[in-house]
Amino acid sequence: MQIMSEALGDGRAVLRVEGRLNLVTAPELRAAVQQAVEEDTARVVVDLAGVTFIDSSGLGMVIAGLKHARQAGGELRIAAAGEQVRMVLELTKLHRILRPYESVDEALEGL
Amino acid sequence: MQCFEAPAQPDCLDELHAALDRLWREAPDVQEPARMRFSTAVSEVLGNVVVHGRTGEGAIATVRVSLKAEPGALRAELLDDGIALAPGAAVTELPEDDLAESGRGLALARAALDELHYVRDGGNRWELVIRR
Repeated sequence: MQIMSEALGDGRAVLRVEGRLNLVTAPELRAAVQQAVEEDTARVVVDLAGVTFIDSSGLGMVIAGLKHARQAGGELRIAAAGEQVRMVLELTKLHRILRPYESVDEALEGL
Repeated sequence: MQCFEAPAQPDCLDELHAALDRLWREAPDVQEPARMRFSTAVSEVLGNVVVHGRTGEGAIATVRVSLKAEPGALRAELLDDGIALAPGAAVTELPEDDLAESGRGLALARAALDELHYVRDGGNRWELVIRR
């Protein structure tokens, strides 16, 4: 898995995740969100377009990131989730608190 | 059918994905929604084995995974030589706290499957079924 972080210069950042977000790799996402918050970009969009597979540990770290961003007065949104990610969000009922935005642009709107 | 045996360590999740890829090549008629549900559920149960898989001596348990695409069903069996799950550890309910960071794995597996069974008989045995 790879994470590329892009600060937009206005307190917002986009984290592009590629590969499998699972038990093995998920802690890297938590670390990337923490770093974004420390760099004063606590309003974060996690771009999941490149995520081929997510498990409950991956979701857990997205939740951890959401809480971390909110504690710093920010927010975290997810964008461009594929079929498997959407299925997992629905089966865990997490789509109620992590609405999957269609695209990064849509997620950035009003963030 | 695809089988592998490995120490119950995080690396075995990569082995699982490789074995699933081989299974889908062997059974191209299995539709994508069933593949997604099966891959997701097996990955969660194996993840659970990785997190809890210790033998009575404290060593890392060994897990044996078999994956089958039968005409009527997808079946997985996971056997490990670890200690028994603590009573109540096989939680298949979602956590009450929506913002909990863990505790969803087996609930997700159960939701993705038609059947999920856990049997303790010397080791731990998990049976997973999706009807096609």
